[in-house]
Amino acid sequence: MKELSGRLSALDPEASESLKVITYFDKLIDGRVGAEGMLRGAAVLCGAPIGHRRAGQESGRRFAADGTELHAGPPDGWPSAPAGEGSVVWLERGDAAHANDALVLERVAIALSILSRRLDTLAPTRRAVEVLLAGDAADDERAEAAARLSFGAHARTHAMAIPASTTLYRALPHAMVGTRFGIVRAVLAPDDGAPASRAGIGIAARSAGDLRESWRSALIALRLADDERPVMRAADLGALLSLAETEDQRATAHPDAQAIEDLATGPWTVRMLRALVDGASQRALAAEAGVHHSTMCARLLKLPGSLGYDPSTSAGRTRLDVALMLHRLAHVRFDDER
Amino acid sequence: MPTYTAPPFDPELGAALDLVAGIIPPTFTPEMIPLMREMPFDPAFDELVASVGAVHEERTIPGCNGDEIVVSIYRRPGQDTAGPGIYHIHGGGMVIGNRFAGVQSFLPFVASHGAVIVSVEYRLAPEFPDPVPVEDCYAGLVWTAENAAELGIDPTRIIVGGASAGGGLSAGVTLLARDRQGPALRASLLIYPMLDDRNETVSSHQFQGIGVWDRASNFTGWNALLGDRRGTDEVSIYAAPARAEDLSGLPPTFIDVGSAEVFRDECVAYASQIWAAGGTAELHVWPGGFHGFDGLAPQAQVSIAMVDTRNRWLTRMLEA
Repeated sequence: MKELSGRLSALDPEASESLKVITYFDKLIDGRVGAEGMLRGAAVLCGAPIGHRRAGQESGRRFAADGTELHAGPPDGWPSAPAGEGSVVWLERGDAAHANDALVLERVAIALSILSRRLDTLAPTRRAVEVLLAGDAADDERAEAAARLSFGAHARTHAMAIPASTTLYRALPHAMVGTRFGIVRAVLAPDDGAPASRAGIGIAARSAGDLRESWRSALIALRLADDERPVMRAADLGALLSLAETEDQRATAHPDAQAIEDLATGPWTVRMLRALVDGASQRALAAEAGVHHSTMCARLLKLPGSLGYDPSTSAGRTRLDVALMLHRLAHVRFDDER
Repeated sequence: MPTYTAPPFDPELGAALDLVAGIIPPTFTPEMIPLMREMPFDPAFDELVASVGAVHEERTIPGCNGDEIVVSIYRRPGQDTAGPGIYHIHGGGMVIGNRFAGVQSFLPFVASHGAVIVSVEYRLAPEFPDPVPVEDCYAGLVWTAENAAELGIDPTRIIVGGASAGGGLSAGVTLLARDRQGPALRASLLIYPMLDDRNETVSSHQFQGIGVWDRASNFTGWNALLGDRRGTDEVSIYAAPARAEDLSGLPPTFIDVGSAEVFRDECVAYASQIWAAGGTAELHVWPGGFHGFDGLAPQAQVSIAMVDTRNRWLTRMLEA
């Protein structure tokens, strides 16, 4: 019986025949057929090998035109289609492409992505996190998401932001979120314990409605985290949090933050200004900058002119400290974090 | 008249069946016999024979009533130690097909076990009604056993087997070999066999106008073989083994069938009867399988499981 061999490619693409390609994969989806069945079927029905590589793998499973499994291999160069969740499916047609090849690839890719969504038990949680943190979610969506994450079971919830590349310490609802400052992972936790080695922990939310505020504060805290203080809690910022939130709304950088930016094009670095605020001696600053302390002395004398205030006074030091914070908030990108 | 709800086809099989809906009609009528006999020869067949290191030889031998029939033999050239013998009977509803159809499944055993395959060109109904087909098949088996030494076959390891009508004829030949005191059989392989001319089981009613080889097709085949005798007491157990009252004294028997085909219930009943008689039978009913699904859609996971299971049993039989 060779009736099925190459059948999908042999169908007349100009006619309603090619609908059979669509119907075929729809039936496999409805019938709850797994990825292997889909791939074997696609290979036999195309009369050419089919490959499928999951996200993060070097090579993928391959099936021959007779349905047998071949050795694993990469998709290099073959016509391919994204099959959901970073996976890819491809068709190894040695000779000229057949009229339905693109359609078959598209349909098997759709079938595989539907399957991966169906099997992804984390997806509903992820979507719930996204809904709760989104500004444009409808009230009923928000209520449903809150119910899914058992809001109300915890007295308080903290939104947390962690760099995308950082691994979570514990199983918590999470989702990748795009922000002005780059891609970041949003996490929701019933306490304010650190969820990862680097994190911005938002203020406590007493209801699902408060979560957006908690999330905004978490983004501020993560932007202020550094190697010295890898885990920052928004609650620890005190009144500075209100200031940071207000400044986040500004279209342009605050003049004090801009002054830091201008200074950083000269001999001063942000790191050295930070050290100055933290009370480093003139000698230590000179060593840090790799200059003679007399040179550093001259630089320090010029500093009030550049900043517009004197950082050696206590008011000036506070002002410089806040300016450094605003500068960091305006310039940090999550993708740069390592 | 009760209404019958058929079990659904396995999703992979159902999807495949839809693709060939225009080529393989569910119903096979007598008018279609001449056209269906013009089956193209599998172009990959000779290549497959060569790939397992086999050579093909034809012999003309005496069939029913001493008439000449042809058998094809597939074995290693210069077979010097006796290997197992696979006596193959092709399918085709008693009315179509030839000795080359279905041999493909057994060729790998030439390479792996030094098997010798003998495939018989029995004469087809309606031109040659019962008992010609089953007697041709039996005559070929007798010839194979008598010439075992020359063919390179170990006479203690002869298996008879076939699919569909070939499965029914294999069951008939197995009964003849029992009742005529030979040849001795190591095992009997009945692949979705056609056993019951009466067409009265639940499964024979469940598949009408759907699937492969539906109720009407089954009438076409049995009517061609038995004519007016179909469904009467004039039908022998060798023509329709489902009619046998006594299934004792049979060699180990393997039966596989789909749950979504006409033959399901007669296959299950046949295995049950062998057990009831104190015999050895292995039965596999594959869910959602239509008739001959492993041949039509070999890539489906249920097909892979079916063929694998069948071959494991066959290997056990051939190896001892």
